[in-house]
Amino acid sequence: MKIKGKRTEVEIPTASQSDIAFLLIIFFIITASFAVKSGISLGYPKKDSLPKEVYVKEIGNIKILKDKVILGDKVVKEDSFNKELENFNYTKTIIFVERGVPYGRVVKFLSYLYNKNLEISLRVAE
Amino acid sequence: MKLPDIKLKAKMPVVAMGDIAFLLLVFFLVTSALDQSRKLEIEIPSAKNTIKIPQEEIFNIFIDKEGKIYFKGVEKDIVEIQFLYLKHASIFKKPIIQLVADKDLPFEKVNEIIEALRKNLEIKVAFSCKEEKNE
Repeated sequence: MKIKGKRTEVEIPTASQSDIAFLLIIFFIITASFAVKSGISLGYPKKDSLPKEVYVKEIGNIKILKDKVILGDKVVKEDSFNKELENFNYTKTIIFVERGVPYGRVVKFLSYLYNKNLEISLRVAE
Repeated sequence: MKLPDIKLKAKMPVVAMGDIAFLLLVFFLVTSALDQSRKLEIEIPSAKNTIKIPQEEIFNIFIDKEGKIYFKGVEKDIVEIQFLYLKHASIFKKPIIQLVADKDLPFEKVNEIIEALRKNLEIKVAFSCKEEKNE
């Protein structure tokens, strides 16, 4: 004898699937950190290229030492460096960096000079 | 006359929503780039007046606190970096070297790399940093 069976509709519950996926998206968005895209850009000539002739009066020296900064001939406090730059009327500057000065400190001063539209030459003092 | 009470079963089609969500998830995973400085524990400096560095022709170099150089997550020496950059510069017209260095690293280490890279050609270097908000 054949048993008459009731056909039951089999369904996989998919309603919560989207919730899981959206939760995963939110997790990735929150935990992700954006790639570094900002910075300070400097152009460097080829090492053995001929030196450019400039007038001495156009060049202003900046010395970044471990414990102080010298702007021209004047020792400047770090927090007033930006203000002192207003009186720094040169078109070109050579920045001498003392050995052992942290990279972060150099970048900080470079960023202050960035707005001045100066031609910058960066050197590590021997 | 009383109308017959017909109760309609209203259902929202939610089956495709899962697909959309997973597609979005796959899109985010594929398009996102890993921030290697986090993996290498490099704390980049922060500065005011930064500019946006175009990322199209970028040559990323990571330098940690001890001065170890990494390229694409692998430690390299200066000679290898020099070679890799020459290769990169031969492909792209205006390559930019993006230095992602630790803020406590002595500057002469960074300078050493720059000097090595500009040995053969003119270079453009971007010192990557976090943007400091103006008070």
